[in-house]
Amino acid sequence: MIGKLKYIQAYDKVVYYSVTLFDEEDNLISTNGSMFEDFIKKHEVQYYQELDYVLNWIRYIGDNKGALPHYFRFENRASGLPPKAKIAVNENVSFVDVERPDLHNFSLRLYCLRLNEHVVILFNGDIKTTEKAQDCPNVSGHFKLANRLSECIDKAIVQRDIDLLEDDIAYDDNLELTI
Amino acid sequence: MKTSRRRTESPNVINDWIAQKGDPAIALLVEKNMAIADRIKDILDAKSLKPVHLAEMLGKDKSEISKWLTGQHNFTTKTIVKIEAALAEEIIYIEPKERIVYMTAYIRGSTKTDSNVQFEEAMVEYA
Repeated sequence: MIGKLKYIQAYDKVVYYSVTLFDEEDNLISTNGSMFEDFIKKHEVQYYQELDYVLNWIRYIGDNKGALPHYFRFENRASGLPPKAKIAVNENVSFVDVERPDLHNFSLRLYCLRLNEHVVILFNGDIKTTEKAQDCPNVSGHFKLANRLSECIDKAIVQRDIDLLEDDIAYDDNLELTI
Repeated sequence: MKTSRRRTESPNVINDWIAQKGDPAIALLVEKNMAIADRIKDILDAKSLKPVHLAEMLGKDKSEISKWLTGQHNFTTKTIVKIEAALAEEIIYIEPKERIVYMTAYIRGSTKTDSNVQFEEAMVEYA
């Protein structure tokens, strides 16, 4: 599987990217344009309110606060994943999580990678239905893929395929993340 | 060639969705929850406290406090009051609404019913 970074939106304090996925034959997997746009499309009807909250939260910190560390929470890595060996980005995959007020342990979760206070990569996510995300069949796959992508992005930064700028990143249009 | 997209492109994936489909009440809810979260964080910082300390004060798990600080939690008034009591600080302060009254000053002994009335009115605000 191949991933290409896609620019989503820039605010005064944060710029957001996502990843467009292709299979080995170069067929588009992210049919709505990117993982994040697939996330929006999938949940905009049944989980409209939770999605609306997630998008407004993303906009709010982008406009007003920046991607400060305490706004992001981290999930324990699933046991099936290889040990983490990050060098460039001192962050784990984190998530945005909005609970359904009427249902315990039921929330809309979006995985992301916070590169720094000004750059966040938005992946995909789903409805979490169990207390521990690794037990949830809906989100565990998204979490594993987000981890693999974050390692690819980290490697690209180390290899200088992605430059971390003061308020953005810079990369070549042909940059491919081999997952 | 490596380029910064911020300086060359301007997609609006998030803003377009919110403009077309978003509920203004949800946007306000996010603003309020973020303001509460930031206020709690500011109080903790001012008192040199960590989230784990607040968790201990309230008998909660640290992960729950961490969630509060993200602004992704819908606070109830009951929860807010418990936090205020634990930290001995106000998180939400509602100012009394101002009432406006008029004070009339009559000049040279005239009254309001005089045909040749001359008076001035001044607005006075008090809480």
